[in-house]
Amino acid sequence: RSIANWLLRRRQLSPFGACVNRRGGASAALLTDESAPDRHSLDRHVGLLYRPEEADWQAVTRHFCRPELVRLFDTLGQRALMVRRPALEIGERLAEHAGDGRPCLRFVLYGRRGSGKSLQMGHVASACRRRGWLLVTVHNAHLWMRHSRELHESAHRPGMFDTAGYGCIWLRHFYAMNQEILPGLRVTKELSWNAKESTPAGSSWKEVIDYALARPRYSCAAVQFLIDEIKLGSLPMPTLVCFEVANCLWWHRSGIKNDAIRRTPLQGEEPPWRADITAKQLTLLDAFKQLLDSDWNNGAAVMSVSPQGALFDRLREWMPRKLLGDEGFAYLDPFVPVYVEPYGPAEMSNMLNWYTESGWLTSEAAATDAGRAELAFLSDGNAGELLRIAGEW
Amino acid sequence: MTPTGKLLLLSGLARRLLAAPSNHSLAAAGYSNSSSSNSSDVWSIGEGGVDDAGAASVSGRRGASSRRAGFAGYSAADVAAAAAASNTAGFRSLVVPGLTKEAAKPPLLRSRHPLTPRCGRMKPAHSSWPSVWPTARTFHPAAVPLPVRQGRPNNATENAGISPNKWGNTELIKVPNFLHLTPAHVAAHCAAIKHLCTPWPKALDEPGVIDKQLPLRVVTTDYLRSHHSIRDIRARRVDLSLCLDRLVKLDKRSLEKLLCLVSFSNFAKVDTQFVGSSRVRHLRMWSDRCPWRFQNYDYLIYALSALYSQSLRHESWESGKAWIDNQRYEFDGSSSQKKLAKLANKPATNAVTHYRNALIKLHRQPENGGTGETHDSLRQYGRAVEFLLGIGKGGGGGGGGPVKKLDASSAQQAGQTKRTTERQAAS
Repeated sequence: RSIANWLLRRRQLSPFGACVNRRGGASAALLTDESAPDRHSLDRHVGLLYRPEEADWQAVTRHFCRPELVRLFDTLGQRALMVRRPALEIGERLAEHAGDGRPCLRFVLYGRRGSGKSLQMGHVASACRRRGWLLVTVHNAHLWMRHSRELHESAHRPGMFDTAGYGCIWLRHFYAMNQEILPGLRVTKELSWNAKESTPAGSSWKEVIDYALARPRYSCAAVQFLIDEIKLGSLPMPTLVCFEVANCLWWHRSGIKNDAIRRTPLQGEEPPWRADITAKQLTLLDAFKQLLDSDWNNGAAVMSVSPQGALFDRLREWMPRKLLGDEGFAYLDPFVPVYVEPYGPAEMSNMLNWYTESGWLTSEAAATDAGRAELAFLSDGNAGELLRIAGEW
Repeated sequence: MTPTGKLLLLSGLARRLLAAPSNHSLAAAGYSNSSSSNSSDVWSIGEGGVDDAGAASVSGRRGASSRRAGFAGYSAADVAAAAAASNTAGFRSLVVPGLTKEAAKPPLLRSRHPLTPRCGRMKPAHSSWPSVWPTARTFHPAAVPLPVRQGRPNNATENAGISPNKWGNTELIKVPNFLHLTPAHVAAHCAAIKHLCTPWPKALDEPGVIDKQLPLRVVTTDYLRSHHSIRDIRARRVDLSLCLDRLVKLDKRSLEKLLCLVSFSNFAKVDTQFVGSSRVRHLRMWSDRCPWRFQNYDYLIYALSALYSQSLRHESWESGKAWIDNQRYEFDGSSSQKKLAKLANKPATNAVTHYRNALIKLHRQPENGGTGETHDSLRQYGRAVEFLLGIGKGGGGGGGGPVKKLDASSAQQAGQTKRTTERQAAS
């Protein structure tokens, strides 16, 4: 009896255990009408697909998706995202225990590449946006460390480097994401850009962002000032920080060299020894790292760790402690690690049904039991792999 | 075949060739074979002795000249007669060494065929191989009664396409041979020194006794190399292993210092094995830095003594050891412990214990008692953090428990309080 139970349980847990449909072949995809992520609940909506609203998609969720997924939705003309357990659990914790003067909670999503960490973060982010939170999201930190755009020595933080280009891009993205909230926010103290120019206290955040976009040289300083404001904890709404590939903040390599500035050394100054400029010396990344600390109230941080953050090192590891290292782990400790699992049998079945219905899976073999089992086996439950493989069927 | 037999054969051959060529020019000139038989410088093979030879000798002279005719075509007597004839005219005959066909040289007394194989000629006194080949010596084809071949012909015409045999084979001489170490040799050596040996102690056959009595284990390897040099560079390596429990007088601090010193060395490591529930640690060292094996062994003994004595010795500056120098993860003194002080709500004692245990399990590797980073240890850590921070399914504030152990009474009490206040507000 115990062996039979073990086999049954194994079949339930394996991704292709339930793909063999009793009725034979594909069946209808299970969609939920609930398109608001903050109203998804653990007991009703897990494993179902939902259609995000247009406004949510354009403002928030689109940025968390890979370009391939965005192109897929454009091709098919419809969007459907799966409601999964990790995002709902985090959402539940945030709803109960974050905000209202409580210290910052940290969640670290981990899982294999393609398992869906960014999309889970997107679900949490859009749920928080609907609740009226302020969103601070960083998607491309590891790319900011690979190439430098308008790199120059920082004036507001001597000894570090500004990447003005990325600062401007992020400010525009931040504004687009929080358009409804930002006009109501005011700066509490005077921001001095340089000896002559300053923005007075009480001006709106939009003015600060506009100034920085007009003067790109001060874009990283603007980001730092805004983050200081957030950390004061005096905003009327809680803040959610989403950071993809957070482990690159503690990585020892980068694609930017310290002689990228290419200026002649001053009198009496030695030219710098050629070395990588890591995230510790980049003001933009250091500013976001301050947001991941636990010393501020009225907010939460959700981040993911990925081997993509291990620049110039083909790591096969995806566990958080190995990717973060001693330093990163000590910085983020105590945090809650959240594992994004591969698809279970029900999720896999639902996903295959939707791909068949929407027309992504075109071959006849994909509708048969054997074909679905093969798809499940080839992708091994990995969402990204399934997307890529299903494109060939 | 005996020489006599060869004579018979030749005489038989001669008799068949007895019909001498008659169209000989010299014969036509009047010189017959019989007259030439008078010359005394005709050799014959073995005159006298056996009857057959005697019979041959009677017709031997005649036969000899005929034999000559059969072999050479011109007889020496004919040449001499021609020379004598031409001498009368005053001309000497031209004799060019090498071109002029001279009388065939007599065959050697010794036969050109090799001797019979030695195995047919060996006497019983020499039938013990160790007495024939007592020590290591260069290969000798006549002494070794084996049909050994060595070498490879380049094509099918060289040596008829087969490997050259042992006679005059320099390759066989160059390579080392072990003909002085056959099982017969080994048996003889062992028999000779057996009276000097004592029997193997039976008690050592029981499992575990050898490790207890002789804790130091030295491993060396010998290599056989088929090359122009039989030496192998790997033979110098010596491995030494020792169970750490056998090192006496090592207290906790000394053991930790030993592990630290070993972790810095590139010739030693500590292996941990779990036998049942107990942990067994072996110190393993190796050395191939010296050219000779005994030098490497001496070096390892020295290194082991140095490691042991230095780990027993505690210097004053060792008190400056920092948290990061610990051999295994320690919660006391870590940044996680310092962060507990910065928490907004002071956490309960059992929450801190859960947190500490989870961190130890996550950070320590299996040989130090932890699990390392696994899904289970991460999940346990997450639950401990939720308990510490008061989030999760246990309820708000600091009153929650870890997910599995739900403090039902406190939750119910909180719920009841809430309901009563609502009712009061409503009324």
